Amino acid sequence: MASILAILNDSKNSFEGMEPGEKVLLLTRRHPFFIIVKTIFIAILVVLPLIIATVFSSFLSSYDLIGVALLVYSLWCLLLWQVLFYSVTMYILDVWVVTDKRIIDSTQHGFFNRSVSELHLSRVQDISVKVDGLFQSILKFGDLVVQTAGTENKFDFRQIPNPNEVRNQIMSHISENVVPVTESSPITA
Amino acid sequence: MTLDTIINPDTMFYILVLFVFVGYWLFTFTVVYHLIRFGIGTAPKRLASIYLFGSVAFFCVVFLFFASVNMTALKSNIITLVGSINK
Repeated sequence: MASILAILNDSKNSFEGMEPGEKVLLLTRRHPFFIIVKTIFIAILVVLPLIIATVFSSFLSSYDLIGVALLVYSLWCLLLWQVLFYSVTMYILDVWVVTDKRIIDSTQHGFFNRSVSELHLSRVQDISVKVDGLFQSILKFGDLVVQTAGTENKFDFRQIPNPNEVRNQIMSHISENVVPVTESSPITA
Repeated sequence: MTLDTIINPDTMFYILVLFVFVGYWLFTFTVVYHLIRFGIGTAPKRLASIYLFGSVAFFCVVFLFFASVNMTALKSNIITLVGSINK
């Protein structure tokens, strides 16, 4: 039992496809603002039927429908609970991992639709930060765009908290530990 | 036992309830599985345990309310209600 409960506290930042000896430097997700907004919206949907039931309380009691109303309300809450945790699951599984070797972008589009792309740190040429708008400035989140060598696509960290810190962390690791690969550099096995 | 005794509104209702029950627990299992299997770090595992606990608790509450509803009385109440609306 203790070993099962240990995953709640001791679980390492390991992931599928992690290479032996690879260390996770950074694990980041979208800013919690987005999931908080959804949670507030769901909380409003939880309260709304209570207000409606209060308005129609005399009608419900006159036709002895209080029990049914409670059943319907509990089913409504059950549905919202599932919707909330579906959103939370998608939020939690949409993650960017920076290891000492590569950057991994894992995006969950649905339960059975998941895309994982990765970029070796040696191919990173430049990292830029884009903070756009009032909310992003106040709550300190924004986009981080990793420019790569060659014709590969850009690597986007969308709406992550403290993008400047993340950029500094990646750049300092690259400058200390990684030999950059340019377009003309020969690729060695 | 004839086909009419099997296929009637009551039976269909309980079959529907059974489908919802199975669908609910399949969905719950899928969410917990994804959080534990693909989640990185401790946060997804903790959320999975909170979610599972909440799902069981909510299900028990719904089951208690469902069991407390008198379906026969409910039918007559709805008939009365519909009749008063039509008048």
